[in-house]
Amino acid sequence: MVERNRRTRPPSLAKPPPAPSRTAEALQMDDLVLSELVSRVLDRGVMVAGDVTISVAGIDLVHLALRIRLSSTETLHRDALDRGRARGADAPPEGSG
Amino acid sequence: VSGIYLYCFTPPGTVPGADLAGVCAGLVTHLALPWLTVWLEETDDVPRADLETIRRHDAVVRAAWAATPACLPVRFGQWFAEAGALEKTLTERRMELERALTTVADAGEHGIRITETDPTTEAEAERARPSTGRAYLEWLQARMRRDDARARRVAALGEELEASLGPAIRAQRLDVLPAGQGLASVAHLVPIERAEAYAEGIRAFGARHPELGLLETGPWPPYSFAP
Repeated sequence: MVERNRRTRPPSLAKPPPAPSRTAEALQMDDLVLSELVSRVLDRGVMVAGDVTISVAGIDLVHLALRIRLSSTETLHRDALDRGRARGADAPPEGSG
Repeated sequence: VSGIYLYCFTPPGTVPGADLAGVCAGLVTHLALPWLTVWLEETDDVPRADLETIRRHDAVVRAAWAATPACLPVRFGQWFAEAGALEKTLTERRMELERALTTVADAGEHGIRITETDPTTEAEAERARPSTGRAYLEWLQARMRRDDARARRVAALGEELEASLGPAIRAQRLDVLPAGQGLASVAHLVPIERAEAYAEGIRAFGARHPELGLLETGPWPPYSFAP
């Protein structure tokens, strides 16, 4: 399997925000891949036996899926927010320059 | 045998390796129908609901996907008490499953999580949630308008993606993500021989949309394109 972060391009800025560390990027991709794996295995694929799934897997599965998804999406969102804040802090005030 | 746990369907003729481990500590075997092979595990135990079991399920599906040009993954946790009931159910869906096997043949699934590089405005609007009264109702109304706008935007991006990728994809699945979790989750069914054209198409789409982040995963077995 190949996973990669294709592109995160900041818009034009007076000063670019600090790039996330390599480790942070790798962790972000790990979260994403885990979230995508859980989504696919639990929510997609052929449904043959219908509601039998629930009686086999039980409520724990639902909690597990939710926890993993929330964790990964929070990481992605936090990273994007950090970039947004960094840009806001670095942007020159209106009318300057 | 007290139960049959299912992994995936492949065309007739492809069978699991002799030592492929399943999710319930047994070995993966198969049921050969004249028109379909079912990868399964005969077991007395139910699978545990944990991440390692999910990974194991995916590993079996990937083994099948590697061994045959067409593989339809089965959703986690599908269980039958005995082979007769399984065969009856599959036979009732024969045309649908055969058609799906044809669709996914010689192709892989590629995933893209579309995020905004600057979601600050939306996040701030979510945080500015009033606690009572008219202001709260107005905030709810504004959120509904934002959700509608997101759905329209994602639909437009999906149409643009599908049109620009053209023959590089066989199918597209588009899911709008909830506010605060990115914009959309996209799955593409990509013929193996079109993988380079697909990558180039995604690069071109990204270049046209510097306001978006594209996080790619895959290729996966075609989970998102199974009926």
